[in-house]
Amino acid sequence: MATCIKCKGVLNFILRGQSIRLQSDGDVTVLVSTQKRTEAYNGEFTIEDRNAKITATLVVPNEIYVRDLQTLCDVPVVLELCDGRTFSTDHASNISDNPYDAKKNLQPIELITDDITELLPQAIAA
Amino acid sequence: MQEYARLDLVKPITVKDGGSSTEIVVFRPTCRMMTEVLDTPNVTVQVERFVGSCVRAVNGGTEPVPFNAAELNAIDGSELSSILNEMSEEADKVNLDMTGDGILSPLVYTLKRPIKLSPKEDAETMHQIAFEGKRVGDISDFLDARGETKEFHAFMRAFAKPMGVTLPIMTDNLIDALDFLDYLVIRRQIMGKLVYARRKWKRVS
Repeated sequence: MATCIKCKGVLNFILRGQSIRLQSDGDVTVLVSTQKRTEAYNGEFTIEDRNAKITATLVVPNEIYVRDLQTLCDVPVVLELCDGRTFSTDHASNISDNPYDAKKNLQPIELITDDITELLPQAIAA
Repeated sequence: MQEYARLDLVKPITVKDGGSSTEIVVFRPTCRMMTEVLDTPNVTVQVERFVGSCVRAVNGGTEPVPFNAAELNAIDGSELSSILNEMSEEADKVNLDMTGDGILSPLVYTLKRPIKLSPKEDAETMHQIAFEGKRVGDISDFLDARGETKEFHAFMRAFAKPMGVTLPIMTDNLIDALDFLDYLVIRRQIMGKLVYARRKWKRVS
């Protein structure tokens, strides 16, 4: 687990059911929308489709090969942020070409997915 | 939020917007609210937290409004305390319809109030939770946790697994969203089966 440097809240990144620590500053980006809007020269917007995405830097655990993180494909991911927001996705694949930082034991990843679900759970009557 | 109980006060209270009220409504608490309430052994603080999170004043058809627990007459405060006790008794009366023992095979608990993972119509719904025995080395977070909230969260994260949904683990917001009844049943009836000593040892000297 990593902590957010601003609020000291916990960040939890779970890949294939295994909890993996994030870089200590907890820097993580989540793009939930599958649309990208671009403003045209005349002030109008064009909309393009794109994949939802999570960008983060992981601390590589001792029991995992660096190669495994660099070639992640079709894995479930759960991301719990410091403010309690939780995101999950079923089929994430890493597309980042960023190299492994051997001095700091860090691996940047860019996970693309079909869909990222933000969890807002609530109890319902049976 | 769903209403759990209503109480006619013996003495009117002043609510936070300045008016007065003779009736209060208790909303059905979630696990998050209940763990916060039970995080302290101090009954006064428990009632304060209970009022702050899930009790509101009503007066006729007005919208429920928050009020200060210190405003309550002692009798009304006792009534709220008895509602908390009633909730625990309700959980103790639940007859566990479970499979497995949690040691050789997972213990499967069916939620009294299933959890829908998001407000979308086609969102996944968690109906059951599987509890599996763990080794001491795997539960250090639970053993080190202090306080009701931290202990329960650590227990759920270490031992529980959601069933019927693609989410592989019990996340904090999933645990927080459990209904109070499911929380109390797990806390009072299931937790003991997996972590508490059963005094099976024999002294030999």
